[in-house]
Amino acid sequence: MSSTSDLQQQDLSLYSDNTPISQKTLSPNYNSLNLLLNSQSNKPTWLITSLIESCLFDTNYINKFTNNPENSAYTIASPRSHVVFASFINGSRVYSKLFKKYLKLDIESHQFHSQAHVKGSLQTLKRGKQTNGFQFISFLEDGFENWFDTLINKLEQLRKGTKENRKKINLFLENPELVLYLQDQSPSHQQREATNELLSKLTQLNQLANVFIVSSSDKQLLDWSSELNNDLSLIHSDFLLKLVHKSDLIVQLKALTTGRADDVTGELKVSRGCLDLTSSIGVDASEKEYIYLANKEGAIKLFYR
Amino acid sequence: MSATLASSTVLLNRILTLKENSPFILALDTVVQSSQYLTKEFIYKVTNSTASQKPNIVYLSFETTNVPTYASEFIPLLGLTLPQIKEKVKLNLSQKTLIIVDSFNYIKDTELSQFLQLLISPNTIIYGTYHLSVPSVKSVDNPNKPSLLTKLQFIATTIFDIKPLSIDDDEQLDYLISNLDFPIGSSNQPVFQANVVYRRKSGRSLIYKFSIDSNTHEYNIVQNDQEQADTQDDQELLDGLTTFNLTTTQKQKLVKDQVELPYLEAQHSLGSVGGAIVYEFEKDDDYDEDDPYEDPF
Repeated sequence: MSSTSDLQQQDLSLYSDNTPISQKTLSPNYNSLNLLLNSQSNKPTWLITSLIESCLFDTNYINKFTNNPENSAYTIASPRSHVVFASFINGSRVYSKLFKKYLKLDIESHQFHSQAHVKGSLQTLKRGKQTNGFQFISFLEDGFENWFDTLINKLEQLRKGTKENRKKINLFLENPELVLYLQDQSPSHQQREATNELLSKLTQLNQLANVFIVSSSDKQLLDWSSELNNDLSLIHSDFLLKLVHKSDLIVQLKALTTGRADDVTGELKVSRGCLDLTSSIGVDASEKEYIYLANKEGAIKLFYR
Repeated sequence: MSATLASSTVLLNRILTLKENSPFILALDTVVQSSQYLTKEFIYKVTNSTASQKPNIVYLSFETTNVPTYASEFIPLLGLTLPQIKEKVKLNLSQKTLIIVDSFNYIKDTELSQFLQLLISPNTIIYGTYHLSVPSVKSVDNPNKPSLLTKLQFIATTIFDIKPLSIDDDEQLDYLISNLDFPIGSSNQPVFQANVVYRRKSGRSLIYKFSIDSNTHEYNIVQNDQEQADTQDDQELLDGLTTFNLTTTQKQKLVKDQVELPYLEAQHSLGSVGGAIVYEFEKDDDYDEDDPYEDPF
């Protein structure tokens, strides 16, 4: 195989109109569900940042060493679409460097980082008149007991706040399956009910916004031959496969199947979800395979496979 | 044979336009090829049917978020218990109704019969999906009880087993599902394969394999090409076995096929004689009139 230095860099396109976030997905008539699946060795931090940038500013920092979204027609006060990013496993610190460098946003400041408590989040929104296009919530830092109420309130507030010129909301949820693991898993039928309850909540959120669910797809977590009904891999497979059947688009980050390489960090694969996006909004997933290289500074280079 | 092939596509058309008597249609799908495209085709056929009375379409949703435009009634059921579902699903069964269930995976196997009782009537046609790739729940109390899938397959009058057109090998399909590997250009395509089992009232099952194009609405029967594959395999086995050339070229095969074998010639002129052994003398034959071994007949 030739080295990546010989290959031509490619822009990330998830949709058939050669965009990472198609304008058609931002139409008010249809809310899409997208899955960003990753393995343990290939974290999607850069991909989430890049997609959030596209949602906010319609620019993309991939393949660039310096990026200035301020040149975009959109600003954080008047973005292309709203973004709420809620993480169950990471704090804002994990993303702050990338956001500062490429999106020029300090997500650790109170302006963007709202408290997860219902009451607190509402107050934050009322106080912050600037109605920022971006909000970061960390359930890891603030507790996940009221996660659903927090998010639903947040989305409804955003919908109210922009009534006259309503913009689409994109909700990024990082590893919501953690809610399932943190519950008492004893009887099997209760376990399935818990999974269905989580899916029901995600559906309610999806009725208000486009949802991007970040989840793990490691081989060890995908096993449904288990005899134990409360086996973690069975719970995860049940949750994930039901989500796949609800999804419009699937992006997978995987380690190289051929082993490790100095100039390749992993593979990125874009595939259609189980739903027919073309007949719903007139744009299809752009099915492609890429390889990518992430350097120490967080710059990403993308190549066709 | 051609009559059977023609009638199979007619039968499929009749099932999809609801003209054939099949009150419970089950679609089995996987993450590699979902039933969405079959549903799309089904709705196209039902709404464009020449039937005088168009059915009412009721959508019972466990996993669909966006309300489909074709549904006259959309009832979200995810997260509800059976009594709540009973409360919510109030159907007007006086007119012909197509009920779409998306999907049966969310129903407990102990509650299936009660759920179906809500829906079944002489005027309803149930079209439901069951995802084969979602793990099924094993009953801890009765591990030997039939699974939800077995029960559904038993009740269904038509079963569509949906697969990608380019992947016919079940083992390969299982591998792709278990690794969540969606082959580019082969998974979730508008053209797909459906193995259809249609159960007649008499109890006889008709089994066909179709390729369905949901864009052009064309159906073709997929021929069983096992024999052809076998002969190809034989050729491949001979390749590289020795340094000698044991295979035949296309030209050689053609010439070989054109050779007229003697028995074919004999059938032309003497076919009417039946099973008798016929011997025709030729000019160089040595015929001895006093041959002691001559056949007396």
